Amino acid sequence: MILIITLYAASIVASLGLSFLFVSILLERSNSYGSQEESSPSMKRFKVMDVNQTKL
Amino acid sequence: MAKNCPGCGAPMEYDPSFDSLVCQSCGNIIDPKSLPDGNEFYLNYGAEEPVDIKDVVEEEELTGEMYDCHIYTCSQCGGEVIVSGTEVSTRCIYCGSTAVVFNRIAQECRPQYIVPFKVTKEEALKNVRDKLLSGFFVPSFFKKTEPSVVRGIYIPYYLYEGWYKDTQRFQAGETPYIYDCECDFEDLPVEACKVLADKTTAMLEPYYLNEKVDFDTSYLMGFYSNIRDLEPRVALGNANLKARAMFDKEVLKQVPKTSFLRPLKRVTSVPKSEFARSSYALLPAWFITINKDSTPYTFLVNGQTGKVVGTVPWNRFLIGAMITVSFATLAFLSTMIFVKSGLISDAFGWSTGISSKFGRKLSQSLDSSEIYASLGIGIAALGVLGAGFAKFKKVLDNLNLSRSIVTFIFSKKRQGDAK
Repeated sequence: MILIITLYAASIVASLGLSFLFVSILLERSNSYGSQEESSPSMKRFKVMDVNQTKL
Repeated sequence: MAKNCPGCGAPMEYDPSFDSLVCQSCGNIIDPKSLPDGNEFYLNYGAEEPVDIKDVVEEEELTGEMYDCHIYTCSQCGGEVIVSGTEVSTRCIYCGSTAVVFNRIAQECRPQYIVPFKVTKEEALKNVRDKLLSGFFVPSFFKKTEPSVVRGIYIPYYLYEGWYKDTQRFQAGETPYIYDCECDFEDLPVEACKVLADKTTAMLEPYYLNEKVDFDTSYLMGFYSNIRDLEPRVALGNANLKARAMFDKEVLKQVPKTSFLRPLKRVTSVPKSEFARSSYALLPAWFITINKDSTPYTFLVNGQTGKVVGTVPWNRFLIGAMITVSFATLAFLSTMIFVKSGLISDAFGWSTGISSKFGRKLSQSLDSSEIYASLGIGIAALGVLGAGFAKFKKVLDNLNLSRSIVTFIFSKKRQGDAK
């Protein structure tokens, strides 16, 4: 029973979070302009010198 | 000094659409490169070096709180103007002439480069207007109201050159990823002005500095500007931070994508870098202010690319209604799923005629796995709630940046209150 009640409560809490997320994304697209660019023309010659992947 | 039209003698202003000085009186157009260099002018004009305030006031006056300011003379009307010590040029408060002050620029703070305005005032206004009109949640006030203040301002930047290298170790579950990368930076712009919020200028970028030209005071005509007041040591630190942020994002792009269940974590990082200031440049931005209920909202437009930065306040009633409706819908849907699947009736032992094996299994005796599962589900739900609130707070922070009094003061100080 506890698991079901928890599941139900969690779905309600998540619903609240999702509605804030949804409205925030809409707001950002509608009312917020400009974002920090991920790359810059100042960045030149990015090189990956070595990649080491080991399965432990 | 204002550069006057050789035809009619009226002051000229720099017009980005012509890339030339244009006479506001007779329409004469002159290529700024054809005019004598401003520095030469200063050498002739500046027979009197700028006077340090400490040299001209009495000893007792220095004991009180002081601020750095200078007295300038308008070359058009001869009026004296007092401006902040960080000011490079201003509009004369007496005659409105675009008087440019040389005795300040000609000192060691004279920029090496400038990126001239490519976006005109009309284009900047149109860009902001288009954004406001297309916003669903933008209050009608902002769609109808004309900006109260529009100013073109050159923001001071240090340009850095250098390199950055790092060996970063990531972990996704039990799988480690080790990347050894390096990168060069050329003309990395770091804002050199204390009064403007760093976050605001970061959003204004990128500026394409391959279009920079040698500094010439002709480009300042009709615009405002500020000179650097950030200590080089602090600016160097900012350059490192900026390079690191860009570098880290680029490294992250190289790492294979991992699943939600195996989140990627950066475990170690061994960064090395070396940066040196290469030059000092002025970069263009339009500051467009709309006043609502005595609160100024300032939008910035990149004077080179036309990129708009800013956040408009929203219609609170509409946002409240949207949150309520979406929450009610999702809560109703999840309730229906629980009721229809018989989970609730099984949990409480109700006889609704609807039952499920899953529900009966879940409602059986409490054991440790059930407790762990409950905890996990609860944490996940709180995570979703936290993500929603965090996103909302980010939008709120951006709004605060737009109505930041600091941003407003920056543009206001450069107007001399003249429209």
